[in-house]
Amino acid sequence: MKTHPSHVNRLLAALAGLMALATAASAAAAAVTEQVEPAEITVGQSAQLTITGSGDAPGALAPPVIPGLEFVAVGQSSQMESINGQTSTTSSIIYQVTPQRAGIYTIPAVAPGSQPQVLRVLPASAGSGAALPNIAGASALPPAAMSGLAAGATRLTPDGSAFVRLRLPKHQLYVGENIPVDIQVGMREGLVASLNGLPTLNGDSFTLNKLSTQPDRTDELIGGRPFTVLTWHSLLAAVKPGALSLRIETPLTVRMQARSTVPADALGDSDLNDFFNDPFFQNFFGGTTEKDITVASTPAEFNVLALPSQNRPVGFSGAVGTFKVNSELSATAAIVGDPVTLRLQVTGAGNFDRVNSTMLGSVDHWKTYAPTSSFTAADNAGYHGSKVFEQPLIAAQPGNLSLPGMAFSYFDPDTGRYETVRTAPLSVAVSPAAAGGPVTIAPAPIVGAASTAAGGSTTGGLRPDHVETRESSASLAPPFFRPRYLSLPSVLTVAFAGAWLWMRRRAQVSIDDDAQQADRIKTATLLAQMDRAAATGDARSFFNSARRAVQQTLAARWQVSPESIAAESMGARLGTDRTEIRRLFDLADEAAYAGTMLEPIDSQKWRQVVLRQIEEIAPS
Amino acid sequence: MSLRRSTYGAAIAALMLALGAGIAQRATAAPVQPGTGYSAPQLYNLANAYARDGKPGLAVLDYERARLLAPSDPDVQANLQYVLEAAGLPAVTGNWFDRHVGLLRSSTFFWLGCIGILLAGTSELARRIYPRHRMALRAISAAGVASVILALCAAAALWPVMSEAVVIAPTTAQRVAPATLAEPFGTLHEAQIVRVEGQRQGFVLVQTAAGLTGWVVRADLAPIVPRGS
Repeated sequence: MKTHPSHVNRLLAALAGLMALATAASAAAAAVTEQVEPAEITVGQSAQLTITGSGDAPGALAPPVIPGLEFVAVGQSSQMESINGQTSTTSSIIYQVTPQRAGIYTIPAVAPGSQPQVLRVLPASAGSGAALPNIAGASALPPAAMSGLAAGATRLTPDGSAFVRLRLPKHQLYVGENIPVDIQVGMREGLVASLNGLPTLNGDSFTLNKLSTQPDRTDELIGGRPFTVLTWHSLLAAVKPGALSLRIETPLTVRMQARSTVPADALGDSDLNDFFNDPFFQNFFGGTTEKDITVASTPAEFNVLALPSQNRPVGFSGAVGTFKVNSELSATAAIVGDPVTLRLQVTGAGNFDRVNSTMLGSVDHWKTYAPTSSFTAADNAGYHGSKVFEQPLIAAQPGNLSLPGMAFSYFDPDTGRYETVRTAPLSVAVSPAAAGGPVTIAPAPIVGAASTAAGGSTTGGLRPDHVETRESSASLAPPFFRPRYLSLPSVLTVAFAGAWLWMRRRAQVSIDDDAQQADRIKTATLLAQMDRAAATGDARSFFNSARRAVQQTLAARWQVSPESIAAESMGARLGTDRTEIRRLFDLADEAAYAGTMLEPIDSQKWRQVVLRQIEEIAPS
Repeated sequence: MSLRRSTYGAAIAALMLALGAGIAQRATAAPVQPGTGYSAPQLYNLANAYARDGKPGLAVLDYERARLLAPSDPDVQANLQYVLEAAGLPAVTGNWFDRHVGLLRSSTFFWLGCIGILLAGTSELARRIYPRHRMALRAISAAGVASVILALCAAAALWPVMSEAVVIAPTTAQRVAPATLAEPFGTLHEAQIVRVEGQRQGFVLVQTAAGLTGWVVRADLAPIVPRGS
């Protein structure tokens, strides 16, 4: 084959041109610039950091981490230009930069070729010439949480839709010690349909303070993809010692593709993979389904120590942290009978739910009442704050009275020791009460109160105190609603009802016994009449008495009157085997109407018959 | 026979009395240590202290508690009315039973009811044993039943107090749902007495005297009769 030299030259020239274009494009993609505007702001204001570059390079860059500066992604833009047939794409990402304190911040270069930026942050009250400390940032890690806790490990779900992350200040703590914790749930927009509940602890070794229903919301770039991050600030405490592990779980609903996605690197180009697997592209062609999943954080390991039992103060109530105390009185002068309020303020950081004080117990010349307490948190989680105990006191006699100092014990996890802090004694000048003087009542802070003048005091009306006695009740509930007392009327009612029923039954049984006894007497009388009739040969009287004796026995058994028992009705009730009784009744009728004479042998026979029948049919 | 019945009846009556006395002794022998229980004068004095200190909510709470232990104390009534008026709240009126019969202590009514049960029960048993004294025993039984009815009326009148609470915060919002984000539709003022109808997640469902029902933060209320009391 013969090749024309000019064709070869043209082909080489075209290849060289293509290589030159590719090199230029590559160089353009690597060019990244950053700019912060304005360069000088005051605390409370925000600046903008704009990172601009060719292609999608800015989106793949994470903002730097600088203590005292917070970076929040607020916008992203891209621009396409075509000049003389050459197309170029430029994209920008904009961060809102908010300083937390004054200083000169150096924002490092986020990519090779870009220039570091300087941001001057002035105090809110200072002029532009104020001296400021230099603060330089050098890390390229994701931005720290607003609480300043160390970043935890970020582990995305397999589909890259969400993550749960913990930020903890330390991994060694004591039982009962509260440590602040930030729980962060990151969700990629478009892939997560809904958050189905608050994050929860996995396991029973820790307790977590109640989470707010309104977490902080920020945006964060992870792997070049934007995530919406919800942050809950809370307090974590271990309930038992040992090497413990903790995970946080959150229920989510994610959108999944009904058809298979393009496998990673199937197209050999990450840009194309991203394009075809983009939620918008997938949703455009339809076929998404929703699925409920639970996202868990990476396990956090803890070494939990038990509180030492040695040197534990007597008044230790379980407070763990670092605290300071001070006390004050509502007034340094008082009148006998007038109340003053003693306040004990405990400030610091720790488990304020275990900060307790009984304040003053029995004090000479003072009448003391039970204290009340209130807590004011200084942060979102309630880790820092102040707890105030208030105790009403009433001076019992005039003079310069003193109140002893109060002690508060806690365990300091930093030093690993129990600490006891004390307040100084207080003194009050108490003057005697004016006899018959009016009692003042301070105005109640009631909104809309009509009869109380704002800022004034109402006088009179309040009747004086009573003399206290030793009589007391264990409960305020009326006895009707206290089980201990309710048992009395209940048992009495049941016992009386039972006794009444027992007596009634017993009376009935007694009546029955009397009736049976009377029946037996009547039967015996009739039998005696039979014997007398047999001796005189009076058949009429003999059989009549015999019949009445049987009737009497049957009547007692059937609970009917003896006269109602006739020979005809006995057949059905006695059966056919009682022919002797029927014969007896017939003989009695014959003797009554025909006057039959009675032989001695017959009288003996019928007497035996009557006795046997009575024996058989008598009621048991 | 009559002698035997009389013996049974006397034994049963003695048993009833011993049973009642034993339970009563156990009921009243609660482990009350001096200074640890509730005392009407102490609650009244504490309420006075709160009233002078400008805390009408806690003052009304302790006046109401003192009123439970000493309902006939005129000072408690007067100071309660005074603090309520000073706070711009309506006075406590009470029902017919409160005004006429409710001046006795609840414990008095309770023991009256127990004595009524004893009287009615014993006389009914005695009627079976001594029918000749039927009329007198029936009168005693009727008196016992009347005592029991009076005690039951007292219990019914006191029952609402078990679910009443006093607002101890300066003001608190009444919300449509038990959540801080829920829309408030009304405001309760300090010292206002409300009826508690339910609790959920740090909130209490309350009904005001005007009939408005809504959720209030639990910490802003204090029950007149504490739970477990």
